[in-house]
Amino acid sequence: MKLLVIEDEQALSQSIVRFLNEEEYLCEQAFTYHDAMMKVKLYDYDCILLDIMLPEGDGLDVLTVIKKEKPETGVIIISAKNSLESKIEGLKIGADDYLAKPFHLPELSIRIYALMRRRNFSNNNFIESGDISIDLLAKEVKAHGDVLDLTRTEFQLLLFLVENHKKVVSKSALAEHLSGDMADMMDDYSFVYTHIKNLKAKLSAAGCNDCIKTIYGMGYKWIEK
Amino acid sequence: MRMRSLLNKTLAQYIGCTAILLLLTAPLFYWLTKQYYAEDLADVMEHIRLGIPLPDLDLEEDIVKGVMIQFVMIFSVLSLSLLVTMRFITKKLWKPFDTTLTKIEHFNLEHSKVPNFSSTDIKEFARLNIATQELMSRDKQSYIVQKEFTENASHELQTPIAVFQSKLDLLLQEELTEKQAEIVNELYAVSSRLSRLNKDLLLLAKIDNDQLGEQTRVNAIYAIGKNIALYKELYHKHRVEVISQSSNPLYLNVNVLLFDSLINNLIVNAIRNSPDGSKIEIEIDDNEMTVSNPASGKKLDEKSLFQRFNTSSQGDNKRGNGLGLAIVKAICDYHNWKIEYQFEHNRHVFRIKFS
Repeated sequence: MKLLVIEDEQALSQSIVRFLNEEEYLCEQAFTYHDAMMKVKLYDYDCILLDIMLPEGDGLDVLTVIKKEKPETGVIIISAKNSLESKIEGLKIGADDYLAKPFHLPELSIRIYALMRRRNFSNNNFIESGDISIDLLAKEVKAHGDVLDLTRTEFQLLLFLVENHKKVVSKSALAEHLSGDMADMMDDYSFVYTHIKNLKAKLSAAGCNDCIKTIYGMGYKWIEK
Repeated sequence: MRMRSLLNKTLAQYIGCTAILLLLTAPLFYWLTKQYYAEDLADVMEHIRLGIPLPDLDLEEDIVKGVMIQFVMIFSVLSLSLLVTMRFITKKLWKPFDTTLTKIEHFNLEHSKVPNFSSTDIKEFARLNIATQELMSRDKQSYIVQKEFTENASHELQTPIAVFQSKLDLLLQEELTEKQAEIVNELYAVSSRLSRLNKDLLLLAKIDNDQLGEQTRVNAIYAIGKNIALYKELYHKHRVEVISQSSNPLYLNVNVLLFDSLINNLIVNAIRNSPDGSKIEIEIDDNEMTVSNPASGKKLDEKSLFQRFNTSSQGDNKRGNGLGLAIVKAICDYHNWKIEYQFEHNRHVFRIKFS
């Protein structure tokens, strides 16, 4: 899958590319407005990550061009502007998602997944990983064929971990994913631990032991078995 | 326009006024002169010319009387002209000063524009107007620059924070030793704090700069409930309870983004200042809302409570960045609500009056 990262901050762009390259993405980068315009017009991408604050030009113009010439491309805006207006404007022009800086890379990763699922239209509302399968529409998880009784939070946690399999996900990324703004107000991510513990217990009861590996109490990793 | 100094102008007007009054009173002087000495003198000269004996006149008394009356008249005219100049003409002369003063009195750095001072031909007032206008413009400019600075600084900081956080996410993928992991964990905490601080500063700047979208009418209980729901699901250390005292739903015109922030900040503040396991109550009345929690410490200092970067109000181990209650206050001010803090029955109580 081909992906273009339009971001003028090189260090951030490199982080994104390095994190995503280990997945099945083929990443290209554009650092300037003109570079971005050229690449957008010349090549086809499945997904474009677009920083709307670019030097030399407005990122929203790039978005307009993408939507006009390559409407099938998925676009996720990444922006330092956390204002509702720029978000609404971006989505109005045709962006598929909006992520405010700073964001966690695993969060970006699942946003791309979700976007690709919506774009491909194929019957991929099921995610299989090892012994478990997740039905995204019914919000149902089966382990060895048995339905697990998960709370909404546990379901979200599991999905986040499974979609970031092979990756270690930090506690703060999970906290932010679950609660948005509330988590970092708390400065206390112990609630993540509580929910992970419950989730682990439910998975164990269904015969999936050690699916979630704890990395020194600061991060979690989904082990596909 | 020809500029003249205030003194010259007053003097000129005084002279003009005196001249006019003298001209107007000239017939009176003429009549007086004629009536008292001129008439007697004419009589005396007539008698001398005809060779008849002088009439029986007390010239001395007449002259003294005449001179006295004249003296009083002149004095009255001068006084009158002085009075008129001071009272009416000067008032007109000083009008530009008065206007300027009123404009200065009504000037508010935060809300009003720099006023336009009307032109005047008096040198001192013209100078005053120019100086005042310049001073106001400069103040206003530096106020705007200062306001924008916070917002720009926060925006500029978002990207480096994003870089920092993304590098941590990458570092986490490496094979770390336990000690390294501990350091990374601490860096994550710093990164969250930075990001929180920056978001809070940005929100405050946005409220200060009045850059928020429109207000919508919401059912307060519903809006609060929505915020609490997520909270109840995630966090179990404290209980949050919403109590509605009124049978009527309370509708408020709010900026939804700000209202959510208000509720979240109040709850988080309550959690910080209460022991684990305690109950946080949100009570909604016809016209007000109170958020209260059992105190883990003593009464908070009302004066510094809502100040930015105030850290005196916080529990020992759960320190925030000192902006939470400042944001609460700013949001209340934004909506013209009144907020007060009370310490009742060993509970911290925050009461917001909606009208």
